[in-house]
Amino acid sequence: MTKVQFPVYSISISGLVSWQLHALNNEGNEGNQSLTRRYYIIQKDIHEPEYVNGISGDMLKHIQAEHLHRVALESGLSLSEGGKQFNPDRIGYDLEKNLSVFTDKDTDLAAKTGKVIQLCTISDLEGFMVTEKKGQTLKRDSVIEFGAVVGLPSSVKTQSYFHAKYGVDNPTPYNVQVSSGLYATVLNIEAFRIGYNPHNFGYSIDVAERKKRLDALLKSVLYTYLQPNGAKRNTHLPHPDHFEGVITVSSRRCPAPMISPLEREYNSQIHSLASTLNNLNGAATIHCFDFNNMAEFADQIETLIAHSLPWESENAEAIA
Amino acid sequence: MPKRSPKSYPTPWLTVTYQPVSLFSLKRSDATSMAARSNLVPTPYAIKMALLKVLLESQGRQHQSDFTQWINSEFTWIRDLTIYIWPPEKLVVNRNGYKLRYYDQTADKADKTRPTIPMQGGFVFREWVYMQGNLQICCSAGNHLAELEELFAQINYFGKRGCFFQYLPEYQQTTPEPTFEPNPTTGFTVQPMDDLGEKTTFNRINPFSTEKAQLDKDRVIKPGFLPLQLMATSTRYDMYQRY
Repeated sequence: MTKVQFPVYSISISGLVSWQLHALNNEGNEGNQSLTRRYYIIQKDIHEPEYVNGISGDMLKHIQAEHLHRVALESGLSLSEGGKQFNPDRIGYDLEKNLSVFTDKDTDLAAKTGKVIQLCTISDLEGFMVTEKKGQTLKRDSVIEFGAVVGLPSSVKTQSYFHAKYGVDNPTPYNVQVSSGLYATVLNIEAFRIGYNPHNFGYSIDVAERKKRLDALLKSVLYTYLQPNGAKRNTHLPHPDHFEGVITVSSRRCPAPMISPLEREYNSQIHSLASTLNNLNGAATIHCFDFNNMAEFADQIETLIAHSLPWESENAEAIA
Repeated sequence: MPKRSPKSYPTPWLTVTYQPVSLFSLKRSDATSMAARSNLVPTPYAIKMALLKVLLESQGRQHQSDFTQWINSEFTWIRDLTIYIWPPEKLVVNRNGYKLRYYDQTADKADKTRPTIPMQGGFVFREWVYMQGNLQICCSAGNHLAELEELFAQINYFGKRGCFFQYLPEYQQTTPEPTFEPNPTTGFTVQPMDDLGEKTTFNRINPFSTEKAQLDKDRVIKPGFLPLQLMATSTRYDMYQRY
């Protein structure tokens, strides 16, 4: 069987995920009461804002970065010392410790950025910022971005539970807010920027290495939803029981369409948008991969890993 | 109020529509990073920077040999765009806490020999805006209509990364006059709107350049009049509705 492969410019996921009895993201305390993160949103034709539990995009990004770290180590992808230790500064850690990263020839931003991209997968994919005191600021935007995860107003509930912390002395009472329900989640991967050096408009690593990084990134996204390692998992590990949505992939210079599942008809809107974008930019610009449960989501990620190639502008010009 | 002499803008005008996909946040120019109140809508500055980003990504490679000349001419017409913003029907501004890494002043002063600026983690205040309805942007396209259409179609976030907006191609309009303009005779809410200064250059705006941008010269902050009415407020949120 001939494998059909297509270039991947960007990937978006819009989905509804169900997490039960979790406390994945909290926003401080009031006395002995821990507070869940909350957002107020408006629905059409309803004039009062509705309060829902939510999880910030930063928490999702952190979970995904943790998984990426493990995948990168296991796959033997190139990492800086900071990257190997999962230091939040990544390549910045190496520079701070005066480890040898740059040579005397690496004087300008293009050369330095290229060296960082070659050396550290996590700095390439997750981004970084270092302010060298004697040089210019080195920084890179993340290839992957998460929107805030927001509960559906009609399908999310937060409850408060009494706990006691037992120790040598008297037990300390406290309350924990625990939430359950359906959550809208969106994310975007700008796959074309894997290995991309914006200072010379070229790629600092070859296409085979870029493919490895894309595959590692896709795996980490799958693991993020399989095992959401947010806060308070020791005693409030979430019960994941549902995940449905659409993965869209663009193979030309066009963002993969993404609609919030807070919109009830997000699925049909995404397909309609994909159809319109295909009419505008040429057939097979946008591919849609639907999934109706966690297993199908995993299947679709596997399909993407098997059939996707990182996009490069020569490929795009050839297609168009 | 001093009278403004009537300015003629190049026709046609391009109006594009975006559907908000996730919560929006863009620090106001007068807010600190520790207590970052958000703009209610993307500002002209944020929109122009988004245009610049997709321009560089999509066309920069073809102009490596004449980059300086090319980017200066492209930057000039983007800088000179007049941009009006029509907010969604309803907005809720959420007040949230947030963990962030930022400059560690204490560690920096304690050890002058560090090669990099130290960072620390901490808790900060952030606002996240939920938008219901679509966001519209109206632009004085002039001679660059086709290029502008192409650039807007490639944008999928404004301001902070992860604040996604979905471009809606069916709603695009080209008109001889703007489809909307600020109208202070109706009700309005004032929001400081930053924009590129009239005489600024790409090198001033480029964060990797050695030239520095100056407030009121390269980046100009003017009061913007948004047709929004504050409907409700509490310790946790403000709710606005369009007039």
